Amino acid sequence: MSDPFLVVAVFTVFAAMFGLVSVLMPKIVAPSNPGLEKQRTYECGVVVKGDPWGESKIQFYLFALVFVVLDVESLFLFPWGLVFRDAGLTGFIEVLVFLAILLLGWAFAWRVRAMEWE
Amino acid sequence: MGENFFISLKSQLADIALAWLPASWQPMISAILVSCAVMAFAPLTMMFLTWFERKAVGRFQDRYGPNRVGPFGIFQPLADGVKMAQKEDIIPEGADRLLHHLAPALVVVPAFLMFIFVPFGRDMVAADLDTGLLFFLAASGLSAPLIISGGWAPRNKFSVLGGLRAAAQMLAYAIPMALSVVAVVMATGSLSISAVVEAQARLGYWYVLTPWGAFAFVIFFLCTVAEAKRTPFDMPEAESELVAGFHTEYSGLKFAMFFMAEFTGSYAACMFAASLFLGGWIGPEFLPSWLILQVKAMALFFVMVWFRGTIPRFRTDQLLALAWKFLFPMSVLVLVATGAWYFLRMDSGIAAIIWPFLSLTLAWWGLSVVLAHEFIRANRPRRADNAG
Amino acid sequence: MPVEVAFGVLSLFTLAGGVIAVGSRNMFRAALGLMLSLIGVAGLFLLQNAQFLAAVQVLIFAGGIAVLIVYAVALLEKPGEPLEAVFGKLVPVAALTGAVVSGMVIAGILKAAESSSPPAAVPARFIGQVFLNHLLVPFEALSLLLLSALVGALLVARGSGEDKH
Repeated sequence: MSDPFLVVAVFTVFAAMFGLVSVLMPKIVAPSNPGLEKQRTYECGVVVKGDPWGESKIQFYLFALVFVVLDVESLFLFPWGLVFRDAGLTGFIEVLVFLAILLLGWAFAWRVRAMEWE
Repeated sequence: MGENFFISLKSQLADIALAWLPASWQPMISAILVSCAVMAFAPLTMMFLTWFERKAVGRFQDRYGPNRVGPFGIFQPLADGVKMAQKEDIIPEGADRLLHHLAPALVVVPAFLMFIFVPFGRDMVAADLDTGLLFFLAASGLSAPLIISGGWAPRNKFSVLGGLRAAAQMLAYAIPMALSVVAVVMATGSLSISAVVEAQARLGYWYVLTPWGAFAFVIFFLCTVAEAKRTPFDMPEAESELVAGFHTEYSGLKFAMFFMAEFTGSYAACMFAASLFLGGWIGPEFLPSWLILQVKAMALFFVMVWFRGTIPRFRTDQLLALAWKFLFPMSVLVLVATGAWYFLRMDSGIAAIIWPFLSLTLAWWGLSVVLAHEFIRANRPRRADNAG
Repeated sequence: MPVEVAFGVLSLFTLAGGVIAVGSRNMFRAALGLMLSLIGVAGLFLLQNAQFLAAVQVLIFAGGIAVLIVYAVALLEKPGEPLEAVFGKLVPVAALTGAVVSGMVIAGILKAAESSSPPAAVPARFIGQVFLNHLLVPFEALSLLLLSALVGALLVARGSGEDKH
């Protein structure tokens, strides 16, 4: 078999080329008639009000924060999962402690309403 | 078409190429052939899947679905592709032109990448990495920033909001997905997907048939449906809520790119789930291994389409609460149960299966009750003095 | 030869991504440049046979931190406006810092220049074994660290959030 990383690299190039060709094809194939109404962004038929590039909610940021911490935790569970049978019961207990501490964090996030939408 | 049809085809093509190239090019030739194969597979699959979905959803809705373009409408996706290719590319004024071109072009890359880590059949992995599982999860998470950029590039409120919400949803469901995969890693002792399939072959049963495997599979499947932003998790694309969400301002092939990323991503996840939990290419001897995997993956995809035709859309806060408050603790409990199951020793008979199954079911119900309480609390009528 | 080529290409991506991330006037393009840079680093990890680390790099950084940064950017007032360059007073400081860091890196490279072949692959199993047997206390301390990071970040973010809404 071939080197798997080479496949990943070659394939990424191919996929990116596929994407770029598809996106640039309209320049060749499609008509181009920019008109006033067509160029306006869509807002259910009414005239656009306000600039959308300046508004957001802090909730998104909190979600991403919680995600990063929990993602790191889950990634530490992968090496444990690989050796967990050899590590035996002691290893299992150790990881249970790890999980318990992280669940504390998760419960805290719930409590301070970092997981709410509003 | 026998078992080794594709393998022998590839080696024949490689021999032809190597006849007039130096031998040191062999890995490159092999990589190119394999990449071409997968690159051909992905869009063709997507075309077939869109046809399949439209027919199936049509039948769910008591109508025929496309049936004019070719027998049973099989050429409909081709017609759609041609139509989209010649549509005018409209970029709203004030939009970020570079991102408007770049985001849809790049968003298919992670979706296609997911295919090369999955074993298509016996000895048919495009990139047989020792940590293939992790790379698959990494590829599926890579599209989140691209979708935000895609939503933000056209200067449209709904688009931006759709992109942010879509990414929030993908992040939320990525964690239970990773954790349920850890359960499989615990059982197999390897991060390589082909090792997982071979372990199921050796053990003689599919992982889904174990108590922890069943729960892990359900959690994983729900998470992949959510990651692909399919109904009932398609709030980011919902027409009544956000127009078309983050792909509102993209016309023609750019829209098709987003769409393609969603479909191929969900099918790759179906193949992945089939490999991890349903035994992959293991099956009856008279069928080629690659066909078996496709049958299983199509069965899972049919379930996804079934969801689409049946279940109404979830609200955003319901979506996110389901991920953070239910699936996440549930997946942690599944991990604990997996460990407990192995320490209880599988050969102690029925008890080793019943207890974890019962406890997990109990945990599922318990967490559902907690979640329901949350929703009731969140939805109680607001007091008059609260501006809401 | 192919290893050198791969290294060159990946370094190019990493550096280009870094330049875009730092130099771009548009925050979103900067975030995408950061993503490119992180993926380049993951590729470099792969060249050193650290598969697990490369996957972790993409999964957490490109998939999570990039999104976090983009969200933070989206929270700012008018992220679409080009940023004013803060050149002028900071150029000498930046040049000095750059020179010092480059010097350190080059010195380190010259010292380690003997071995040019990638190290043997460290299987992820090994990481697990090490964590559970030898580095147990750091492992548990890690969870405490993550917990405190989460609590701290949430408290800080909620604090400013309450002022905003």
